[in-house]
Amino acid sequence: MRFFENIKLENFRNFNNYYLSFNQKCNVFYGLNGSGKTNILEAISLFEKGRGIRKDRYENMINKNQNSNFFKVISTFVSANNKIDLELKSELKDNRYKKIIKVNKSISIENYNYFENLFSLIWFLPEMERIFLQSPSVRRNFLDRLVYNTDKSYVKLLRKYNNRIIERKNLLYKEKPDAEWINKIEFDIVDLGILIYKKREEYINSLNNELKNLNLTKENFFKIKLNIKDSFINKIDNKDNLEDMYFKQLSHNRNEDMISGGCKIGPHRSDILGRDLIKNFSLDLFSTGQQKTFILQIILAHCNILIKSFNLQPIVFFDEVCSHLDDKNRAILLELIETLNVQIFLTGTDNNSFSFLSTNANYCCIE
Amino acid sequence: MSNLEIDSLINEISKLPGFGRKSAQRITLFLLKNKSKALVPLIEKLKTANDKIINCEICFNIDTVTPCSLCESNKRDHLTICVVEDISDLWTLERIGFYKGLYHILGGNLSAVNGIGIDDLSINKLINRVKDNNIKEVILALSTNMEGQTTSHVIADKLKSLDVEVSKLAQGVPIGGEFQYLDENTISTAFQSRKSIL
Repeated sequence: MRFFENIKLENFRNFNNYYLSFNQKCNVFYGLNGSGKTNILEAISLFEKGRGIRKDRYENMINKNQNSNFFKVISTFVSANNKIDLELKSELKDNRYKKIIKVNKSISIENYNYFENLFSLIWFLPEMERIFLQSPSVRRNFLDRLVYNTDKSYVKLLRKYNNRIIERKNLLYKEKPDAEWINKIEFDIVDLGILIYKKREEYINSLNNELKNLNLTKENFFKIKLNIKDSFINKIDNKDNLEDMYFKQLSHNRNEDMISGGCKIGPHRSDILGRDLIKNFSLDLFSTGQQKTFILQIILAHCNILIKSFNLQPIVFFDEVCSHLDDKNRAILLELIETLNVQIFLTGTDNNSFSFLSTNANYCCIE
Repeated sequence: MSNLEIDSLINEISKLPGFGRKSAQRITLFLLKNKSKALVPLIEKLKTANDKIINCEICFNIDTVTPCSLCESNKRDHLTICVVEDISDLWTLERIGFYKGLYHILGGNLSAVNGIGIDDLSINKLINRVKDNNIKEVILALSTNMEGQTTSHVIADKLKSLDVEVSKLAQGVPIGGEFQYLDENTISTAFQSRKSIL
């Protein structure tokens, strides 16, 4: 079992100096709107790469009332009786704020890589209730987050791919782009794009298998299946010549892409669709509450994958999870909390909404 | 000297690469306190550099003459060119001293995002140099980041039609490096480029 044992916030968001210790399984933060429940989740999420669950700028995380120019988050992470000291601090360099993470008092990358590979954060935010009604990019980002949980190098791959797409766009704006240069960029896009397609496909297959396994054990769960919709890759039956076809299509689209200012094909255009296998309906046709159940089922299946196949410890955030919480949703949450050894953080305005949880949960009133 | 002038001097020094505001303040104070020993000689050296140092018209190295002393040297192999991004890379190779061929300084890497294209670098001049001087080998010693790799690839493609051997520097386990600290990309490249020792 791996978990965050405590957290200390200094000048972070609405907190001046705040300490909280956590239960290794279920933690409930309740309090009025604006009391800072999500801020605590955000502070924990900063220990992963990136700018946390809100993807906000670091300068916005500094408590403005304290007239200070930095924030600090201190925590202890427990991994099989070993305690890892964590310290995260904002730092202003070249007029840009960035975060510095010390693992066991050291900023060495080896220490951070070791810590990073001990756990994976998964979060459910209120806006994700309508994920199947939102734009494809929201679903794509959700899928990419899940893939990243299983493979930490995936984010580098996405970054390189996006860099190449922007490079190609800029090059196409030139009056006469150099043939060798644009060919090389398109070769890179093909190599990186195919890798992204493969990683997403492998993950979706394992997720669908795990969702199927869940259906076998839990009769009241929805029988859902996810698939990737992509205008390019879905049309190709024989994938032996995929590289050639991808490259030819990119070259063919140059004029169109130059006018539109984008890239018409590639994994950055994919969408993630889902179907209910019993009713044979697309998931976006279901109610908001049912869509929430789909997401919870996906998170449950995902946690199973991380534990069984990757030996990674999922740590799950459920922000404002109580709306639309029917029996099915409660059953999934209880499954996550009771049967999986997973540290969970739940937030809500009222502690009575969490009465379905066992008495072992750690209730914290945030004021 | 008014405060405004001191401030503008600090400001100019802080624009130099590697200097922040604090370093610039320290340097300014040191120069002003040691005018005869530090400030005046520095002004003279800067003036001389400004008057005399020019870019070599062949390899784009800096020297007081063009072609530069490296391009004119009879002791160097005039059939091999090593392509580097910047003059500092040339200095690194010269400090080590084992390479005895000529150089070609590109002036950066291709990057459409940063607006650096073929014409902003000395790529076309390199192609002409290879054609005109019957060069036998071009060694690409560029960075291994994405822009460096792209630039190497583009140059290699442009040299393909000429009768010249094009090589790039090896990538893999550094000498004295401990295996456990290497990143996965370096290890995978090292495995792919392994060679027999028997």
